[in-house]
Amino acid sequence: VTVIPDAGPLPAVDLSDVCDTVTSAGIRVVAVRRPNVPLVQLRIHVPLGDVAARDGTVLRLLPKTLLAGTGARSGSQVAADFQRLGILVGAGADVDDLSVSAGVPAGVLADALAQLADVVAHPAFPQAEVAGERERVVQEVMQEAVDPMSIATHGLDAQLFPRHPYADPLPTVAAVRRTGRARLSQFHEGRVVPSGSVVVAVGDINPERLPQLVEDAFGPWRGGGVSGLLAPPAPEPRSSGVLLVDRPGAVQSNVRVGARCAGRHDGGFPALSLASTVLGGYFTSRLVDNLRERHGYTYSPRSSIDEHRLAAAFAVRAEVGTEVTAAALSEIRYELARLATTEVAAEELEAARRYTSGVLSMAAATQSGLAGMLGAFVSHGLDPDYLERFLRALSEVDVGALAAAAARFLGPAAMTTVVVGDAAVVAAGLEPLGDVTVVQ
Amino acid sequence: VATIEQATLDNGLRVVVSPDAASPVAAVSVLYDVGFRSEPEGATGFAHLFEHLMFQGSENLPKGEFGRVIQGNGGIFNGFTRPDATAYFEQVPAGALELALFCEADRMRAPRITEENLANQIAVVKEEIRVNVLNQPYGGFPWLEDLPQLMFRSFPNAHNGYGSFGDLEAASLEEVRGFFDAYYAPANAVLSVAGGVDPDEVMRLTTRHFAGIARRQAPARPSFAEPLPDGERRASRVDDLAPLPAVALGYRVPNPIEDEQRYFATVLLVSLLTSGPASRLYDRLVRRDKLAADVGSMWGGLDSAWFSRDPTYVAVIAHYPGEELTEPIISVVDAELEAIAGGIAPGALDPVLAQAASAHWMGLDSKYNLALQAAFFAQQRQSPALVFDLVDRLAAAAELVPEVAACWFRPDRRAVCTLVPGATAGGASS
Repeated sequence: VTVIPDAGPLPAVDLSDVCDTVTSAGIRVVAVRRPNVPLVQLRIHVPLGDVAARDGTVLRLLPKTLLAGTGARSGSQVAADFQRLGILVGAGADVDDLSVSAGVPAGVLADALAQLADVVAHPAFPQAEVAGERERVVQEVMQEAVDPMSIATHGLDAQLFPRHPYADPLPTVAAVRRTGRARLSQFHEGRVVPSGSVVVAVGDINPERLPQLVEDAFGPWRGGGVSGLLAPPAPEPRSSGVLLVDRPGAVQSNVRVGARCAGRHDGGFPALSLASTVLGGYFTSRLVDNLRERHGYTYSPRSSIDEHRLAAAFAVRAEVGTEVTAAALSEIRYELARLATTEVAAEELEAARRYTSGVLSMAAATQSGLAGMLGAFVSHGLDPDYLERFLRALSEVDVGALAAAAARFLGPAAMTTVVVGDAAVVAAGLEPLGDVTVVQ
Repeated sequence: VATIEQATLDNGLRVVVSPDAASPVAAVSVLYDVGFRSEPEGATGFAHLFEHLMFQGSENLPKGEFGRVIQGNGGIFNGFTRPDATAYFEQVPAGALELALFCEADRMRAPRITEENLANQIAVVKEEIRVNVLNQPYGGFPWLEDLPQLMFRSFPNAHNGYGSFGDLEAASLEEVRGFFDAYYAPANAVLSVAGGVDPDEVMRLTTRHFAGIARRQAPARPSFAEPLPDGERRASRVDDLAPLPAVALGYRVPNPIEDEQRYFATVLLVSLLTSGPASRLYDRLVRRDKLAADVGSMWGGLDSAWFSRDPTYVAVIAHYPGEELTEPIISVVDAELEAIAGGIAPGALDPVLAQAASAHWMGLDSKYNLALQAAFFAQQRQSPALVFDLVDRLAAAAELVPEVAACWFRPDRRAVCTLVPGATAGGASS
């Protein structure tokens, strides 16, 4: 008899050496030495404050135009300076945060921080560069508007966050073209401010030096007092209904089944996250076993929890053959119902727990993995040791806690269903599963 | 100092170990020397389908057990198929090294593939093709069919590596067995291990689990050589889902292995042209002339310049607002190439090398990436240690960049493939 070898323990995560301070401008600096390779991974998060005046057009334009020139340097000079020092930079924004990430050779850390501070704090939004970036955003919006997976994501988010910026609807081309440098400057002046921002540094560094380096790099930049976000109210679930977005001729249907759920600040989150993993969070999950490995309906069915600072949403996603759309949705609802009404086997829970813990600990062993997690957690109001606490909490989840989380959040009755597909072919098949509302 | 240890088992399996005592993970990669270039006519997509089948169970691991064992012990796994190789990899907690080796050895010795699993994975691969190609704007452009068919004439180099639905549906268990016997011999594979492992222990465990797999002759690799194009080749296709036109300029490149210095220079040239917002084509096409929404590059080996043997190519790809801009964009690319061919200032490549070094170090911090890269370098170049001095080797080839631009990136040898939006997308987006 062949014996399968033992696996041994999971890697330990020890974040007791994280240095956590706040600069005189209110920037939180989280730094930790991990000299795996001679680089430093930097993550800068600026919270964008109250959602009342939030504008998806600005959120799409801001990270691009931020790198397009500062008071002191042109856009091409900014790019050339980063390249000269071997700095790899990316910028993005969502409803919660403006974020800038950089991989930096350890020897040029001070210069890198100064260059990054210049683009974050002092963008000039030059007229010609803004016009160019605006047309690029127009083209991105046009591409996103016809991408079926993007249509499905926007469709579900609109249902889960009605009339709230977290729905993050695709802006119209006209709205993008109306946004000029005045609007960007005004938004930046009012909302991109140091107080409450976070700078994470992980790599070949002396963490004790980081607060002073950040202080020096950002200099006299000051500001703050942006008021807090308003949490979106939970919507009424649509239960058995199906919102069907028509794409005539589509060879696949993009199925999304989702609901609002607990976020990381909720004590039930560790159990919920393991429930989602058991259902569709990895290859060994029930959705993959059922929809892919037994039925061959789809390539990569999955479930996950998307987190905003003040709300979270669970979603199942599956791109399925047009001819099996209703059958696939029926199996998804069956798996949701089974998870919400019956206990998982102890070994199924253990596998999900070891997978989740293993993936997080292995990610924490790389500079970019640890920097990314620290940035995401701290910018969402959690402490730098959150990862250690989360791993402990995972180890305490039992079968009963998982069942309770699944019953509370993942039952089919709580779900909203959006399908993007060829309505002429799939609508009739979906009727037995609920009222089908077709939209163009 | 980073080191790499190598050994070869009696059955011909090559073993490469890149130890890092400080790492808490073990990465294992098995790279088989077969890709879609080796598929016979009538069997397009077979190498990739076979990759799926390797996850369907083996002698001691029934269907589903491979994933349960690796993931259920905190690990990740995946596989991918390229023109010249099929890769499998796991990254697990360091204590699970032997478990990962056991799983790879079990399927190298005796995969267990049934009619039912074959039919199931044919259906799954069809959905993979639908989601990545058929139901996707710009799906497959230009890597799947457009450029290979324009740049090459022979079936192995030109055909669609995902395969036609007809060929996939016709795949039989007999062909599966034949493909395994021909290409999945230990002597046709490299086992690469990286991370917090002791090289002696790796060799001991490798012997325990792999040495019992019978030796079989590795297949002789046929020449896939093709003459360079004797003129510019052009093609255009309509994509009903795409809202904007796109163009891909394909260039044959020096032999990645036999003409290594010029190939290194090619990699530098392509970075100088297309890598990031400081690159020459971004500066011209996107920032200054505002002709294109974006510009980038893609290698014939797909995700990396280091995944393919000869003959192969690189493509410069741009998306842009209107078809009238196609020729102006091509003119700018030509002008920038001509300028580089005329000579570059001393030190002009230093910033490119600085960013390449950072990207390279970032890659090496991920152990499965390191294991995979060492496996490719071991299999295709017999030099896995190239993972550690790649950037120095690139730097040493800098002076060849103008010559490569002049000789290889000529308008009369390139392929130009355009993708034109169809009525559906054009109507939807306006």
